[in-house]
Amino acid sequence: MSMDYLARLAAAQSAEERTWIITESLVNSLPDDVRSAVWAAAIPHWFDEKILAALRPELAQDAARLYVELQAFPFVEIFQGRGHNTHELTRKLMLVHLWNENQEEFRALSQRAAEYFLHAEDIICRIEGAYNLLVADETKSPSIMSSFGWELNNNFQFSELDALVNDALEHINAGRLAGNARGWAFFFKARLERQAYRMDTALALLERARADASDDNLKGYVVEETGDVLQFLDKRDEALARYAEALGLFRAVGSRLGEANTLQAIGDVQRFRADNDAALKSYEQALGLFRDVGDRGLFRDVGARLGEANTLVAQGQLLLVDDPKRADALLEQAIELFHQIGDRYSVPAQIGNYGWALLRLNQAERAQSYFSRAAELFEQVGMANFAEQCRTMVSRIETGKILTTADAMYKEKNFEQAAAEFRRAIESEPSARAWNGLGSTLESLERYDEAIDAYTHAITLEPDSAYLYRNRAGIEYQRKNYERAVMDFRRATELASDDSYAWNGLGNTLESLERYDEAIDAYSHAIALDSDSAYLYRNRANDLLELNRLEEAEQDIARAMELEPEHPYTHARQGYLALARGEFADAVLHFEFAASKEDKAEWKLGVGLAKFGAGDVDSAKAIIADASTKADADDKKSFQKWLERLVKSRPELADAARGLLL
Amino acid sequence: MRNLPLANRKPEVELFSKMLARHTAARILLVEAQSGVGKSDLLAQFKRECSGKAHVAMVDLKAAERGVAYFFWRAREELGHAHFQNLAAATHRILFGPNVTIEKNWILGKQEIEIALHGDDKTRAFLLDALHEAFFQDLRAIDEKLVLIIDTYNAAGAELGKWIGGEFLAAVVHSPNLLVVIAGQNVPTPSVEWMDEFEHRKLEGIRDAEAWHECAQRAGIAFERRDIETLCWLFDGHPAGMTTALKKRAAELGL
Repeated sequence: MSMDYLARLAAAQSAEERTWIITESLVNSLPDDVRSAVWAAAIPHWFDEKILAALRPELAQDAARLYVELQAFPFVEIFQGRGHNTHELTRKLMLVHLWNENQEEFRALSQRAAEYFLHAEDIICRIEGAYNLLVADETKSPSIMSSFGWELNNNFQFSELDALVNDALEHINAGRLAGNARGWAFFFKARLERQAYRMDTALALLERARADASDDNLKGYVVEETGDVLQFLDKRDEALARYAEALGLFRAVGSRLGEANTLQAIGDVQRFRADNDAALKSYEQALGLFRDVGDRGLFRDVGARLGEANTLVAQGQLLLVDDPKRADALLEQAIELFHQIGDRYSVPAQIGNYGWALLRLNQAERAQSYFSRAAELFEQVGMANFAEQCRTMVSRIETGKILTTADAMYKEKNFEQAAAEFRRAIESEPSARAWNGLGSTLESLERYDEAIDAYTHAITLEPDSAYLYRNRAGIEYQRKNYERAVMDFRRATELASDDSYAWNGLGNTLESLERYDEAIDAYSHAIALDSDSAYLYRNRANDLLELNRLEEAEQDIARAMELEPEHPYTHARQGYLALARGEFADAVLHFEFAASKEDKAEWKLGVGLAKFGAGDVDSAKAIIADASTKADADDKKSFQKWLERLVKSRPELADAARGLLL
Repeated sequence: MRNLPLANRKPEVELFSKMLARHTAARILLVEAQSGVGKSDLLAQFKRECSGKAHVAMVDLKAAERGVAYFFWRAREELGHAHFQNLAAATHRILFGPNVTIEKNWILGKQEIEIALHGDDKTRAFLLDALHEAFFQDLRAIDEKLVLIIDTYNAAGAELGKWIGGEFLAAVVHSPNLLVVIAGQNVPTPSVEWMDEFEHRKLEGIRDAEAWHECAQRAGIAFERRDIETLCWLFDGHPAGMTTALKKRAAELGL
């Protein structure tokens, strides 16, 4: 083996250089025709006999033989479905050297490759043709990049646009493409990145595109696209500033399509900001321009018509409330345009979007007909999922109407009919809201078992909704199923720790279970969330009195007095506090005040207890005997407890007290 | 020359054979390799291993063929049209609506799939879902082992790359008859859906000079062992440089 050759390899500074030394050495050792074919074959991404003949017309007669010979080289591999290709690593090195050492030859081969591939109808071949043309004639490269890029973009051929841009980047990275052509490549790459929601990358690419752009048309598109990205990022002021700049650039070069697109984008920002008059004006201007461009029959026709259709829809949505007929007419015009350009998705999608816009305007009934039509059209174009989504909306709106009726009936206390409507809503579309409504209605009808069942259904559908557990706990509490009530109230407080009603309910239930410390803790949570509700202080005071923590009870009662000084319960708590302290005259006054405000047996029993404590036994007996006829079990239990407390503090009344037992 | 089996890829071939024989739970093999390390040759070896054991489809994503439509079409070309009735029906439904009967002589081509996927990004996502479902229904219905080899993953377009690394591989783990090999300068990042069912191998140069010497001898190329060792050291065993050197030597010898 040649020492010189090994020495060169050993002296090489990189693996790439070594690969090139061995490749060049091999290629230089080949016969002229084979060597010529090897260099030509490196120009396109793939080759076959015909491509070799087109690239080396002087060797066309030997193309078949040369193609077979090339396949034997270690750096030639199969290119699936199209022939063969020079291995990526070798190809890259060969192109770098050919560009550096014989640019004229590079461009001539690329020109022939472009002519060959651009004759094909296959889009992949057209992209390969464009890739070669980009370097064949640098004066034409910006227009190739922009016109082909827009064509693919406007026809929604995004995979192909991606391929074109990546091919251009191959030239860019090798230093073979610069200026406006490079700017267009960065611009289209940025659009693709925006579609993939990679906004930071898009902005970085747009900056590079802006640096390359020397013509105002490209600058306009770059600035407008930057505005679109900023709008997506909710930077609307910055977006508007970019749009204004883009408008100036487009007007300077007479790009009506660019101007129209920018005006539409401005209208979108204005619409978002509810500046409807300004938005309508922008859309009107945009429409005029789109129509003007569309009538010229240029390849941008599709883009112009799409822009026109989208503007009509945006304009129509703004008029949905004030001028529904005009809004519908605009939608129909847009649909006609979508049909013309073969946009199958936008027809049902934009009809559905009218529905969504109306829903946002709380016009569910009107929205229903749009969703219904959209569902049918989605079905026709085979988009079953979208059709199902629209049908769900139709059904949801229908259910919503039933629920509104049911709510109204509930408010009118027409519970039987309300229950029937809630059941109808459940049949139409089971929802936690409907089951909860049914639960509340059945609770009002005192059909507690069924109500609990309804709340349980609601909880199954929405297991994380605290109010549903609170509602079910309320019934369990009423039915004295305190342990179950505690479980549900606790779950409600876990799900919504800021729900003071749930904390209060938990306090009430724990109090019923005589777990006073825990009850006080629950009420304290409620008070922390709602410090201006007197009933919470009264409830806590009650338990503090039970535990004989009189000073704390006094503080809570004082706060309740501040908040609701006239409330019978506030005075009743004050009465109990006075009883506990042996201040019977004071207790009599408070209980009498409470009884004057509310005819409740408990307050009258309180008056009796206070009088008894004060030593007015006869009067107390008469009052207690009268009140006991109206007292329920809880009243009697409370009375017994307070009587026992009183006797403990005044044992001399023990005999007399026996005559008071209820 | 090119058909010479490369030395020292034994561990990768053995792993693939184990996967093929279902002696391991993994059904996704990721082969990561820089350009020129012999990745495509290894895939060709995998394909040969499948002979008589499984039906193989090879999809190479290099150059301009970057879209999902190409992927569906190529896999169908490789495995046979008859297996893809659901894909044809789904494409037909998208193109002509649900109520139009498929004509017997209707042929599903790449262009039809491309047109079926035509639309803005939201539409495409939906349509791709529909074709994905149909494609996997068809694959699962094939009553034999299938091996799908995807080469040059790094050249996949953004949409295709995302789909392969996402929904595609997630569906592979639910397709018991399917084994997938993905090779490229980069490979999909494991996701929670398939992270328990893959093997990842990174190919390096073949640094075993003895193996290269054997290769040269089998091809009838007289090469001093000492020179082979020097080349192997200089190229770090990278097949692109080594095979070119062998070819050059063969040319010098007039072979």
